[in-house]
Amino acid sequence: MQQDDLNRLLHQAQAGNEYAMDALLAYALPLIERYLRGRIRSVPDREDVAQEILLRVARALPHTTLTAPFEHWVMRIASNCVRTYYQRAAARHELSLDDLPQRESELQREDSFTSLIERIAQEQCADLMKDIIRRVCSDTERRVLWLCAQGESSEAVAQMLDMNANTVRSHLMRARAKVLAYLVQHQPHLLGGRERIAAAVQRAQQEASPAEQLTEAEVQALVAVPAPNQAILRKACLKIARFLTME
Amino acid sequence: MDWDTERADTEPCLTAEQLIDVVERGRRSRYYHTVVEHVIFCPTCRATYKEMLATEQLMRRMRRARWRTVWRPAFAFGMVLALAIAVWWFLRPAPVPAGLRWVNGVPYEGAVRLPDWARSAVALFESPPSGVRNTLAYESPIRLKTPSPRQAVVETLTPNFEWEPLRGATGYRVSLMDALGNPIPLRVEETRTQTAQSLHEGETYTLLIVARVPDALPGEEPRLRYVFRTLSAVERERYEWARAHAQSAPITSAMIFYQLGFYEEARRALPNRSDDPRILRWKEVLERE
Repeated sequence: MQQDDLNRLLHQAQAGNEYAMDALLAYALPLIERYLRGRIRSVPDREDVAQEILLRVARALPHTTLTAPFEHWVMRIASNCVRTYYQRAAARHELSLDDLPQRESELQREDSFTSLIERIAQEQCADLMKDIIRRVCSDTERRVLWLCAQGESSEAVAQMLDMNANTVRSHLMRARAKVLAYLVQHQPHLLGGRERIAAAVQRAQQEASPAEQLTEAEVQALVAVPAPNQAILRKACLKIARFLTME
Repeated sequence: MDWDTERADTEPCLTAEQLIDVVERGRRSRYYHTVVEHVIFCPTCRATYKEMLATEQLMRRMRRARWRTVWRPAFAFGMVLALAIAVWWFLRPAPVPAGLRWVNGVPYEGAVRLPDWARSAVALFESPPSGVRNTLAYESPIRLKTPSPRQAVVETLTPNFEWEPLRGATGYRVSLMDALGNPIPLRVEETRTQTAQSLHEGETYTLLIVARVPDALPGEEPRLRYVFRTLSAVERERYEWARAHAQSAPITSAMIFYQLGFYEEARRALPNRSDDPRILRWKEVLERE
């Protein structure tokens, strides 16, 4: 179905046109069945849940202002119904619901540490940052970094990218180190200039724990352009990251 | 944070099929890169994608929980059972070969050690008789029902005899004599008779049944002559042994039955193996008895 036709049907259905509503439900049904097929094995249960989804769509559509595409809206309703189905099944099997994932708490947990990269990205130089990220990071690192920059927790990013959360954290750290190393070497003005970097090094030497203290080689890597050893420079950048403050 | 909103505005949102496929198959999905690249910039698609992922995660946890509560114990039970079978298989006693065999001069059939007096029965199995045994009972128009006319021996000392009624007969004259011709008193009732006293062990007797037929000439009446033996104490002991071991030592039991005159029981006791020519021969012999 063309998008225009779909929009027209949506308007008509919301205005109370039953034929339009029927046509929309007929359009949604294959999507719903496709979604339920792999999730609910029992055929009678699947049919019941499909019926429930269609009912919810029909009841909610007339008084809902859609902010997402119709398919997405239907998929969210379907997703909710599947979740309800499994929660009922859990109750039947006397499973503790504490064992089940608490979506809100798991997916919307924020990192306590907001990295410098994300803070830079919030500033006016977002386009430049995106260009730098694209240049120095791998595809996976770029995706991880961008999603984290938009406030997604590492668990949520891991889930979205079908990865282990620890792998996501590794990619994130590596991406941050690469970008910071690039900024330190080639765009120091984005960090406030070389003086600010030197100040951050000084603060790190004074305030950081012994394990986070910069070695002589790391200090040299931070001041030498270009740095002789990128690995040492990246490590040094991660150590001074929290002492770099934006103006 | 909309830091690439212009890109999100220009690209169309993901289709339900793309989202479902990536949710189901993860990185193996052909839409994986498309979806991931898109959700980075499109908050709408990302919200739907996250919603579906959350449901997927819930569903997988539920299935894992089901595995823990139902299938895992069942699997563990199956493993224990398989282990028990494996242990039994390796520790079970070696199978005893069927048939007759000699171990250190002692005859065995299967796992049963045969008594010494059964040696003659074992020897008999090796050489089935070639002749055919006939009794008068088969040729008489009077048919004996109990005991079987194929049986040359009676089990009890107070046997019952019963025969089939003969057409045209008005009555029967029944007599029982021992080997010396001494009459044994009987109680006759139509086509049945029973000894009025207990017979002696290990002796031979003759039962004579003569039908009274009105038009038959004297001496030509239909008659049945049935010669039988009673078991001696030793024979009874052997008979009991054979009955007790008919399953575990079928060949020896069959031979003992044959020696004692219980041909029907001997035929029944013989194993149904058709690969042993001696058994086949014995079946032929016992069919004729």
